[in-house]
Amino acid sequence: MNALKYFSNHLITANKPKKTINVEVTKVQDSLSASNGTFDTRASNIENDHTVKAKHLRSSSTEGSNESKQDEKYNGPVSTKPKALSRILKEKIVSILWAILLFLPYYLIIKPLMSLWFVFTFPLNVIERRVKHTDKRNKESGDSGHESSTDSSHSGDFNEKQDAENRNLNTIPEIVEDDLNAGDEIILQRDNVKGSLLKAADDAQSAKSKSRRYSKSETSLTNHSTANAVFGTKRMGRFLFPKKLIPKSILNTQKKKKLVIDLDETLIHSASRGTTHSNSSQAHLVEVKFGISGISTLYFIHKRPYCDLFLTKASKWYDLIIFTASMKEYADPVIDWLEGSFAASFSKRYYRSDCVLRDGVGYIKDLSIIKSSEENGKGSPLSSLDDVIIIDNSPVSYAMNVDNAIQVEGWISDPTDTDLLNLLPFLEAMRYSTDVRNILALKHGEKAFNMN
Amino acid sequence: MEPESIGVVGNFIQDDNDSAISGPRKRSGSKTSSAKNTRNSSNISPASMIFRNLLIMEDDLRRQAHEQKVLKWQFTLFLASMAGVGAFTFYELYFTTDYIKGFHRVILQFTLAFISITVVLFHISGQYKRTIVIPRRFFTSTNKGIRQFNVKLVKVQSTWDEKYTDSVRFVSRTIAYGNIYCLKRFVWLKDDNTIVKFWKSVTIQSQPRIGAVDVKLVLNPRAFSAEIREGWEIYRDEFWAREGARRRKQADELRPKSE
Repeated sequence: MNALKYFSNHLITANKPKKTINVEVTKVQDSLSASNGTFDTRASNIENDHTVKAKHLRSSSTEGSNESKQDEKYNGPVSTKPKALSRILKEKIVSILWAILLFLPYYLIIKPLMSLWFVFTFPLNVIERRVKHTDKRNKESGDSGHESSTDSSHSGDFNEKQDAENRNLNTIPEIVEDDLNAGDEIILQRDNVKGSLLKAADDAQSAKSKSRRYSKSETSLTNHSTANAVFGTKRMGRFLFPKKLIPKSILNTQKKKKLVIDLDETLIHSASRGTTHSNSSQAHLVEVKFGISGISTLYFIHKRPYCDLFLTKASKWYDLIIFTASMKEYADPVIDWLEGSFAASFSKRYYRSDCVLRDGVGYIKDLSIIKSSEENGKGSPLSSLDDVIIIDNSPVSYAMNVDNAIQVEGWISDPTDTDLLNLLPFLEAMRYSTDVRNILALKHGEKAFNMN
Repeated sequence: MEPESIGVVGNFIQDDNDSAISGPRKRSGSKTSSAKNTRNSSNISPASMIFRNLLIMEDDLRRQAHEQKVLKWQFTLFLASMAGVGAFTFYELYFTTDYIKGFHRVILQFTLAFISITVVLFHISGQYKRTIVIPRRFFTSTNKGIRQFNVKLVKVQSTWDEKYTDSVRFVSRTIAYGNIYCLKRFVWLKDDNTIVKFWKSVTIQSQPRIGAVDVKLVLNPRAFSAEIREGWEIYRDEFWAREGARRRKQADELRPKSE
C-alpha cells in the first residue's frame, strides 16, 4: 500500500504538473501563432485585393489603417495576455494541486467504499423496494375491501365477538398503515405449518386479514387486558400475550427460585463397601454413627459426574435446598462434604424426618413444608409452589408435587453419565419463568393444557 | 430454622395417616383451586400461561445457544492459531535445512515450549471440555435434558438471503457501536451531536432479527395434538410480531430527533 502510494505520488508530482504546464504553454503559443497567422493571411488577402482592385493612395491608407489596426490588435492581447495567462496558470495549478491532493483519498477510499456500500446494500435495497411495492399493492386492495374483510376475518374465526372489540376495530386503519410501512413482512417469521387455526381468515383474503391481525396486535399492545378473539381455540381458550417477555417483577427481584435436590442416587451414590465401584480410591469416606444404636458404619461416597459443575452453576440461579429421604446423621456429613466443593452452600436441609411416610409406598417429600417454613404459616402455602423445582430420581418422592418435579435417572456407578450436565441448560432457561409448573407439567403431555 | 421444621414435622406426623390417604386427592384439589384462582383473577387460559413460559424458556435457550456458539468459535480460533504458530516454530527448528542459531533459536524454542505448556494446561484444567466439547454437544445434551417435558430444541435453517441480511446488519451494527464509542470517548462528542445521532439511528435500523430465527422449541408430536403444536407456533410468531412492532415504535420515537 505504502509502496503504491509512494509510487503514484512520485509519478504525479514528477510528470503531471510539468506535462500539463507544457501543454498549457504550447496551447497559448498555438493560439498566439494561430492569431498571428490569421492576421497575416488577412493582411495578405487585403493586400491582394488592393493590388487588384483599389487605387494606391486608398490602398496605402487602408494598408496603413489595417497595419495600425493590426498593431493595435496585436499589441492589446500581448499586454493583457501575460496577466490572464498567469491567472489561468495559477488557477490551473491550484486545481491540479487539489486534484493531486484528493486523488488518492478519492480513488483509494471514497470510491471503493461507495462501491462496496452499494454492493453490500444492494440486496437490502431490493428487498426494501419489493416490500414497499407489495405494501402499496396490499394497501390499495385492502382499502377497497376494508369493511368486508374486517367483518369476515373477525366472525370467521370464532364466535366471541364483543362490542369492545368492535370498537377496537374501528380504530384500526391508521395504525395498520403505520405498521405496514415499517416493513412488517421482514420481521414476522412466517411459518408454513400454521394456517388451519386461522383458516377462515386466511383462506379467502390472506393479505388483508393479516394486516387486520397486526392492527389488532397493535391495539392490544397498548391495552393488555383487552381480550383478543382472533387467536385461540375453544379448547385452549384465548391467547393472551404478555407485554414484556419476562416480567420486570421477576427480572429485578433478588429472590431466586428454589431448587430442591435429592441426595442419594441423584447427586451422589454411597455404599457401605467400596466394592461396587471400580475406582474406589476416588471415593470419599464418611463415618456415620447412629445415635440410637451407637453402631458406626463406614460409607464410600461417590459424586455423580459433573456434580460440582452442576452445583456451582445451579447455585447462581437458584436457592439450593437438599431434601433427602435418608437419616440426618448420615446426610449431614455428606452435605458438608458437598458444600466444600463449590462456592455457595445449601440454604436449607431436609431429612427423613421431614418426609411423609405412606404405608406401602415409601417416604414422600411434601414440598409445602418448604413454603410453610419460609412463610411462617402466613398465607396458604400451596398457592405459591410456583417457584419450587424438585429434582429426584424416584417418582415416589415427589408423588405429592408431580408438577414441580424434574425426573433424573438414578445413578450408581456409570462414569459416563451426563444427566446433571444435560439439565443445566434447562435449569438456566427456567430461572425466569413465571410459573415453573407450567413447563414442568408438560411431562404429562396434553393433560397440561386441560388443567382446569 | 430447626425448631420451625421440627414443628412442621410434628404436624405432619400428627396427621400422617390422614395425608397418606388423602394425598392424591389433596394434590388434585390444590391444583384446580390454584388454577381457578388465576383464571378468576386475570382471566388467563392455561394454554397462554404455558406458551408464555415456553417463550421465556425458548428465549433463554436461544441466548444460551448463541453464547455457546460464540464460546466454541472463540476458543477454536485460539487453539487453531496456537497450533499454527506451534507448527511453524517446530518446522523452523527441526525441519529446515539451514541451521538457525543464536537468539533467534532461543526465541523459537521458548515459543514452542510456551505453546505446548499452554495447550497441556488448557486440556488439564478442563477448559477444553468447557469451551469446545460441551458447546459442541449443546443441542444433544439440552434435548436429552428436556425430553421428559415433550419439547425439543431445533435449529432453524435460514436461507442465504436472510444470512446475508443478518451479516450486513451485524457489520453495520458493530461499526456503528464502535463509532459511537470512539466519538464519545476520544472526540468528546455529546449525545445530541448530529454524528452520534446518525450512528445511533444506524444501530436502530440494523437491529438483529427477533423471534425464532436461529433456534426454536418444538412440541413433541407424540405427546401433543396438531392443534396445540400449531397454537404454539402461532403464539410465538404473534408474540414476536408484536414485540417487533413495539420495537419499531420505539425506533420511530427515536428517529425524528436524529433526522
